[in-house]
Amino acid sequence: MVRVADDVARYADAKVGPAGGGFVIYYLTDDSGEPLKTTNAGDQGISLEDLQKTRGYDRLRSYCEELSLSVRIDEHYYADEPRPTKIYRVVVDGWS
Amino acid sequence: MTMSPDQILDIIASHERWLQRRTGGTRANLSGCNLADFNLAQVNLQSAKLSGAYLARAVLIGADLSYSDMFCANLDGADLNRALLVRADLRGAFMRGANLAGANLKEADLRGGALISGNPAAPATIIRSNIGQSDMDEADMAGANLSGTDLSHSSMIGAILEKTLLCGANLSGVNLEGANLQGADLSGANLSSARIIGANLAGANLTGALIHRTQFQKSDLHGAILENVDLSSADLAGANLSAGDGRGLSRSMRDILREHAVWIREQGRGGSRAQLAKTDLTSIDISDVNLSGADLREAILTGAVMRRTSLVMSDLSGAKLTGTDLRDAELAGINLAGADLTGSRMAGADLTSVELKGSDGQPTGRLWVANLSGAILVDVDLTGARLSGANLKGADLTGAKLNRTQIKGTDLDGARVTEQQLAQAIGKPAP
Repeated sequence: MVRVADDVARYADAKVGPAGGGFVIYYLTDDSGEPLKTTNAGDQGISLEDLQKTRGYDRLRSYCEELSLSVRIDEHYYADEPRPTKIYRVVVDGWS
Repeated sequence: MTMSPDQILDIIASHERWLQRRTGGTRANLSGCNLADFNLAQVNLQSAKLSGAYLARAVLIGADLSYSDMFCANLDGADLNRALLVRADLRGAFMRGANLAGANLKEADLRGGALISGNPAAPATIIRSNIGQSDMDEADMAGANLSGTDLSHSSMIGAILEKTLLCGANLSGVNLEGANLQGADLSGANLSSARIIGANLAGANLTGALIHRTQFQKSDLHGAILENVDLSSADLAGANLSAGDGRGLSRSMRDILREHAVWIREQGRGGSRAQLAKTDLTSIDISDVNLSGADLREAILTGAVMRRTSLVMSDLSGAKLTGTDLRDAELAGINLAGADLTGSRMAGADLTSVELKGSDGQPTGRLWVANLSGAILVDVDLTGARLSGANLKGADLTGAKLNRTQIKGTDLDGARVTEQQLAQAIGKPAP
């Protein structure tokens, strides 16, 4: 959890010469650093709503609320071939 | 995800019903969809979800995309001529080579961000909104947040960028001829080789901007903040660089004052203290503003107008305040040690002490005196000012007017002041 505060402090300063002033996105990666796409949440019957109901996400949301930040899970289509694949990203933003 | 034209039309029709609050309407969710090369001219996708959508080369002439979520969308080469993008979320969007001529991006958000993988050891990937080499002639981007955006080599002739945030933006090689950048925040922006001819930059904040071979001919830089800016290689022929009347405060300065007001009101629990040390605030007009407790060490306030301004316990040590108007200002407990106030008007100013209170709000009996030790007060008008108890050790009061000035208990040890001057004042200084 502390990492969120560190990341925001490190990357959020939108004053002079910002590194990344608008948002921080977290995504899971495989060993090669690519977004985790060999695991298909849909195969396990896991939906976006299920991810939003997990204890971990709930804790993250509470923590972000404490920091007056917002958090959401973004669902993105990653590829059509060989089959439709989605990736999920956790987006932390809300500072001006 | 690729959609057929019929599916897209169905989604748009349903979205329009949703916008009209008609039955059966649903908000368009085209997030992540592949809409490359689609002709979506004049469509109404106001408030639609287009996050991560691939809209490269799409025709969006006159489309209404106001309030839409276009987070990380790809609009490379898209035709957004006269499109409405008011308050659109375009953070991390790519718009290389897009045509935004006449588009309205008022209050749109185009900031870059950080992508962080699950591996804490891996460095973050920084993604910047990229609208480089785009055509944005006459585009209205007033109040938009374009901080950190790459706008290099774009054509922005006549663009409206009034009060736009462009902190750290890459504007190298951009053509801003005739553009309106009044009050814009360009701090830390890269303006090298930019063509900013005949533009309005009045009151703009250019603090720390990179100026290299930048063309400012005939531009209005009246009241612009040019702190830490090297203008040696800039072409300023016919440009107006006058200090300004201070009323054209940049958005950043207004934000600082607003945050400071909150900081005072909430006693430090909210807002933030104005940190303006070493800041060039020449000729600024902050009359009636409450800047109590502000950090203005070594600030440059030459010619500033601060009538009735409250600077209680503020730190202005080493500040340059020559020719300022501080009449009737509240300066109790102020630190003006070593400050240069030559020729300033301070008639009626309050330079007395502040009684310190404990955490319970009760008086502690301790006084925080105004510190003017070593200050240069040459030719300062202190008529009717209250200096009782103040520290003026080693201050230079040559030519200062002390008519009816209250000096009871004032420490004038080593100060340059004549008996004739003191004879005009009220009360006896400290022995």
